[in-house]
Amino acid sequence: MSRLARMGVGAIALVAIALIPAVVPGMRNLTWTSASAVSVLYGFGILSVVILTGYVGQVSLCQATFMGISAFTTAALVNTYSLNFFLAAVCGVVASFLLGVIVGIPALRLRGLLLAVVTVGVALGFDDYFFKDTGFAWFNGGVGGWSMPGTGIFGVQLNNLDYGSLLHIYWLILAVFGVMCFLVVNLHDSGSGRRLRAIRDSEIAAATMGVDLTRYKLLAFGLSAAVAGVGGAFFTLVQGTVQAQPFSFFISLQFAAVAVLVGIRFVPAAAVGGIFMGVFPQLLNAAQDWFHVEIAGSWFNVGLGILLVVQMITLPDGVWGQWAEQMSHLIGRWNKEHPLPAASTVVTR
Amino acid sequence: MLEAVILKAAAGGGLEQLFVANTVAGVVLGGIFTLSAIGIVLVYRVTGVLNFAQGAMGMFSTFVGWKIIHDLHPLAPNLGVAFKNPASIAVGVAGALVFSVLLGLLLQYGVFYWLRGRPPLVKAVITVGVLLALQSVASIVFGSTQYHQAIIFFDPTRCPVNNSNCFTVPIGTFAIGYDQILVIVVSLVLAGGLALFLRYARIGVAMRAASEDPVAASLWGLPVGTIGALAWVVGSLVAAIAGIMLISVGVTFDTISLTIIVVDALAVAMIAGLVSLPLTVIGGFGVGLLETYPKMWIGSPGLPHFIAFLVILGALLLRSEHSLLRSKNG
Repeated sequence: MSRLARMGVGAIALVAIALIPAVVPGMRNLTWTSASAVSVLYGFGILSVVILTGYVGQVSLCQATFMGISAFTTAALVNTYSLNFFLAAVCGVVASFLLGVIVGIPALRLRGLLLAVVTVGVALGFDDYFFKDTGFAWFNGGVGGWSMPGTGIFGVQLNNLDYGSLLHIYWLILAVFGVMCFLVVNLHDSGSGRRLRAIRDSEIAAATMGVDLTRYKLLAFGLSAAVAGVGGAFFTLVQGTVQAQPFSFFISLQFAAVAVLVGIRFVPAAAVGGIFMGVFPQLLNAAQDWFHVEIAGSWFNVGLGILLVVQMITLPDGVWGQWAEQMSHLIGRWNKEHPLPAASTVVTR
Repeated sequence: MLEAVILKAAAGGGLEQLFVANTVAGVVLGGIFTLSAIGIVLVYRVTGVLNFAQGAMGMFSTFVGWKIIHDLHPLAPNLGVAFKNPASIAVGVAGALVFSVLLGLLLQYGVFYWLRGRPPLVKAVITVGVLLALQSVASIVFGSTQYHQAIIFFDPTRCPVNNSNCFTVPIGTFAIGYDQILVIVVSLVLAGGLALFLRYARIGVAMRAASEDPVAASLWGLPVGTIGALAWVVGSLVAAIAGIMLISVGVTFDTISLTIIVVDALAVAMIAGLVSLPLTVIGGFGVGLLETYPKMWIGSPGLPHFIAFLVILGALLLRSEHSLLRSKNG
């Protein structure tokens, strides 16, 4: 598929996803719209893993922490200084960008496994200390966390109180997500993207070719954290409250696991993974209601773990990677069997 | 995390008392970290898998023991008695250890045997999946509340009437409980025994050979897969022992607290460079004390994990990368 065609398919898919909670009967309610919105937010988290691990080869198990920093900064600014939500969100994203750069500093010396260990430390340290400790109540809002008032832009209500307003938020974040996906796909083939991928394939070779390792590694960490941070800032709006739980260590692990499961080098995998993470537990809960069997949403992690093991043994490139490869094979074969008429025959007279 | 230990240890007030109490709590915690870290180091050295699920494995085995005491023992209806009764505890602990052996075998033959020769990072990500799965299954099966009964090895109510401190050893004005001594002794004995085993026993030498160069070892006819299984079994066993020790000294007993002990164990393993057992022991007690002393001034429950993060950072940045990951079999 040509690049343009792929973009077109992506845009159509995005529109379809946007319409689901608006038209599908049974999903036109607060529960499913909220689940859809949360899926998109998880999509931001997984997209940040795609940038950092898929493109640059730096492993991070603390993406939810980046989300959390942005969410708490946004909520603290809105609550303490009554700042406009969008201004506060920009500050939040900047904050997570900065934390990303700081976490990137050890990555200048450490690779692979050891970097993963550092990020586990970051995730747990922040999760248990800065996000929960009452000593940082100015930041994390104390015991109950922050509560977020809704906001509005150009007269459109954005809050999580009724179906219509939540649907507006959903469309807004989906649009932002689409733009970010587009930018990240473009990044892949740009000059910077090539330098980043050179770092992934071999740091020494990249340095020899004149790639400024320090600059590009820190940039990658900052960018990835900022993408996660955008998700975090909108999280406050979708949930209405900000607590440590949605940004815990276990969510960070889920981001990494889902990204690997779906295909860590592919941007569409972020969307698929986000839907998987956001909707699947909801489906399990719904199944529990329909079948009257005890299948709580917490079975999600069990399935995730088992799928991850099976996938690693059978499909090393991730589900999306495998699928994309098969599709390109099929398209190649179709093109061979149905060759386009040669140029000369088309232009006869 | 160890408030109960400190309260139990601090008989009177005063800074000096508090210092001694924190030292004891820190050493006890350090012994548990050592046990956990030994598992990580051993599994990494022999199989090349950095096990993020070390805490989760110990947590699950511990809960299996808890469930056995809770459900199966004849004394079960009276839980207050069952969790203090030596016979019922013995059955539960034995069950937990047997389960941990099975879990180790399952992980080797069900998962990691099929991932031989894959990059270390891939295997580490798999352990993340194992962690998530174990933690979820545990919270489904055993309940995710914090109100599980702790196992009490030395029940003070069994003391004679005239001596309520029979299970403690006085040091000056201070008393250390038998359970705390037990943790310290068990961790030291296991670490020492394992070091001797790796150095002198035939299987131990084979394990070291497999960790240095798996291909050469298999050319010499060593069953590398079986040796890997042994490493996983020992790793899982020490994880289970660490988990049981942890709840016996009164740490919050839920699926999450026991799972995230892995970050402290990783800090210790980083100090040891993922290789050295003696450094694991020193680092274990060091991290234990380092995480406990700040409690004298700052009573924040989250601070220890932040300290563990700082230890990880410090250990990795001060060490040269060459000395880390010396056993580079993938």
